[in-house]
Amino acid sequence: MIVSYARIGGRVPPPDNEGLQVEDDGSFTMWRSIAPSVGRFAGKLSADELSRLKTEAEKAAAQGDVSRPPTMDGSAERFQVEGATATMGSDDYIEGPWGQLATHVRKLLGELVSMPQAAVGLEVGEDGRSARLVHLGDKPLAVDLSKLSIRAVLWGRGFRKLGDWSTPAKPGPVQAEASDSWNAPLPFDHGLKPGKNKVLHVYVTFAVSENGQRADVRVEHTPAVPA
Amino acid sequence: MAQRVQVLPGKAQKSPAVVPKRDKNPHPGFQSQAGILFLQSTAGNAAVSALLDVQRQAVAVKPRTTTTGSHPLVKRGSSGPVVEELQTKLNLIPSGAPDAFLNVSGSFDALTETAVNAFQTNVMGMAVPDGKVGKNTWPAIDNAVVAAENTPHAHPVLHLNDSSAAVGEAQEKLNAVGAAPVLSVDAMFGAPMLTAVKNFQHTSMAIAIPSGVVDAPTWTALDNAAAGGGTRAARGGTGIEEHVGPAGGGSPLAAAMGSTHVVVGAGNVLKGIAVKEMQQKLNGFLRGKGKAFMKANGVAVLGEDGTFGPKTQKVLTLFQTQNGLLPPTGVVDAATWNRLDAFTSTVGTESRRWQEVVGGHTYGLTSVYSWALTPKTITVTVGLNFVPPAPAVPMPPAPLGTWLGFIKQTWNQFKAVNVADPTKSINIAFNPIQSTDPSARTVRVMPGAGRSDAGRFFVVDPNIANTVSHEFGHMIGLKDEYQQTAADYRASTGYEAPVGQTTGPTSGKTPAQVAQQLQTAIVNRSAPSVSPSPAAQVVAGMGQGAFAQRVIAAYRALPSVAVAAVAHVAAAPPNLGVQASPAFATTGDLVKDLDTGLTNFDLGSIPNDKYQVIEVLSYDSGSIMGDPSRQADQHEHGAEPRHVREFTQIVAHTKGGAWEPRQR
Repeated sequence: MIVSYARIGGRVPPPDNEGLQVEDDGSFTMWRSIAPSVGRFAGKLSADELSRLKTEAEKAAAQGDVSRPPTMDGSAERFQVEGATATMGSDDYIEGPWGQLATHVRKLLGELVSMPQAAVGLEVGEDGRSARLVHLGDKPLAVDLSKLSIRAVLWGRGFRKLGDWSTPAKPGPVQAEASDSWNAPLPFDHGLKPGKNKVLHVYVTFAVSENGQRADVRVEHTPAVPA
Repeated sequence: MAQRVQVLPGKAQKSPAVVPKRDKNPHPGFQSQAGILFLQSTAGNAAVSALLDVQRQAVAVKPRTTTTGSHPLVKRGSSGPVVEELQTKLNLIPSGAPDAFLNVSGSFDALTETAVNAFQTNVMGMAVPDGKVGKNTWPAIDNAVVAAENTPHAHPVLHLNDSSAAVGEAQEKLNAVGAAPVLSVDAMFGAPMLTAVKNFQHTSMAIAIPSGVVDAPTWTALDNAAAGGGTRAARGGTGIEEHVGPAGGGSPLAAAMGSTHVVVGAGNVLKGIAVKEMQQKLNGFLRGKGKAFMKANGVAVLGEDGTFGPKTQKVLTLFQTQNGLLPPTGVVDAATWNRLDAFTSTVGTESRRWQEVVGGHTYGLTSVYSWALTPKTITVTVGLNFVPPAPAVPMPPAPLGTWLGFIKQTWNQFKAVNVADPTKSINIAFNPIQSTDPSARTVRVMPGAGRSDAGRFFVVDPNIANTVSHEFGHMIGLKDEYQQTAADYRASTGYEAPVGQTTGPTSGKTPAQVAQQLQTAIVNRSAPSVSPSPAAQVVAGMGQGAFAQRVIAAYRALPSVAVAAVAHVAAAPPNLGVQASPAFATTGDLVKDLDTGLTNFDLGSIPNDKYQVIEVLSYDSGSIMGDPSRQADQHEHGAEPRHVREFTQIVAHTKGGAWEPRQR
């Protein structure tokens, strides 16, 4: 094992519930609960990526354990390398080897969603009028939409919130095994009007199960908002 | 793999109308005792209870039992106070849409339209509901509200060993009238409740030989002594519970660890509001002693300039000597502040270091603010030091002013009212400012989308208004009101712990079985690769409330057991690794043991479920300091008067008399 990472908690539900582990040969397995796509991800890092990560992990191990209290109402992160562990508040800035490793791992957490194994993603139509959940990867994932909620937020320049729409909805089927071509169109009558300098963000909360265990998750569609 | 489709900018279109939340205004007529008595005589206690309940909401509404006859037409897209009134009324009446308990937002949204449609269909008998509230629907709604309010709760007679939600309601009321020891609101009529019932019948109902049966007269006495409780379902409405407890009660202020004053004097603070506060209080001391005393000691009334100079030092030393604070140090430490606080000031600072327990875990923070009192306003200033995400990174563009505006919008809605003369009031104004002072709360400004917390605000966070306002609450010394024990919930909110869910998990296990299985789950943490996670499976189907309290009680009765340390286990993909963790012995406090025993980093299957497990075994308030998004009791939506009581106490200390917090 080169590095094991977890991010847990937070005040706003669903809680952060993210995990990544990279093995010596570069293979990784990752779980994402709040992300553009959620579920299980797996694959192998490139040789260059793996080399850099190994070097950073060794330097962090040499520095020894680091422990910082998490921020109130925030989630906590834990990085573990062979022989040393660092815990801190989510996205905390930290100097030195642990800082370099943390920056790299956090970046991987975003990038590796491109390698889904058993995951669900969110597709939003170009005109912002339609949205659906889609299965990603080559393995199935149990999906529970019984408490599905959808939120659309229209952002404008200067990070102004121009509109905020949300609704719980119960599309069928409520529970499904997502695989291959599975998709679930979402009720999306938000009435918001994306346009020039207006960006629509979409958040869909539901639950998934793996090996019979249920976890609340949130898929997000959050393109950049103009300053 | 399915292809992700990006939203592409289209033609420029008119943005949707978004009406900002207005300031929340109370309705004085509803706060008059005469008005309440009139309503009580005409519509009964249930109506008064419902009325007071509505007044407890952060969003005050127009009088809702009065048909004005001049309501405007409102429909999807409408907003403003009249929509708040509509939503409040719809929440009180059977509409045929049991899942549509509405947030009183003042925005006529889809859920409001659904509720109107249901009302028009189910109550008005319209074949084709139009979802609009106009000249026909308004009177129908008003009539339905009056009818609902005149329908009393139906109370069953309760005996020893009964178990029902009504038992829980009675337990809430018994607690509210002073049951000692406080009853667990577990919806079980056991021996402790029997004692409480008999005590109540004996002392409050003057029954010489109390029966211990909660019969109709006892229910009436309980209702009169402690309004609220039960659910609106009793009147045909939704299953949302009503509070039991005093409106405006509770103490959400975190208990300070040590002095709440900053140390003033050599080597410490030498300039600023804390010094000015000290000077004012020293002047109070001097004026009390009189001119002869001042002349004899070679001192005079100090200039209140906030600068710690030689004259201030001399008076301070004199004060310490006179008060036996020997040897006089010339430094205002906790002991000196304690004596100085006998005098008043019009300015002050508070620096409160405090701890709280949330979900069995202890957190701490230091809250620092200054205040200034004028005849009309007490202004509370809090510094926020916005910094970049990292030292070497430039500050990203951010709506700092908007964030500070969120704080003002949420918090600047209260006033201190003189209890003896309610015509006297002083506005409580919160003034968050950008500051680089060391006492300011440092907040990292994060670019892009993310989830904000006390230490970092994301520029694109859909919940930022709530989060910023919540975190500001901590900055003025308020603790969290989520994942609380029953005792902490009661102490913080002033309301009795709600009955909540009386039914157990989907497995059908008893409380004792659930407790035993949770202890086993804690003990067996050495095998977290077992999937599914035992703890999460045990509580599946459970919710906050009575059954969970029975589980907590059953766990407390279990003997303590040793929980072995966990050694690190290397990952075996797809299972992730197991983190090392020390040994401990269970304490009987279930939430604490779950927090200690269930590792946060159990990534054997889907990661950690500790958060969700603890959630069902605790209580959340729906206020800004609680968790509106999780809380089932939706009566509270924002800042509550209880949250600003400290500032009314400052007013009382300075101006004398009793003052209480109210909505402006």
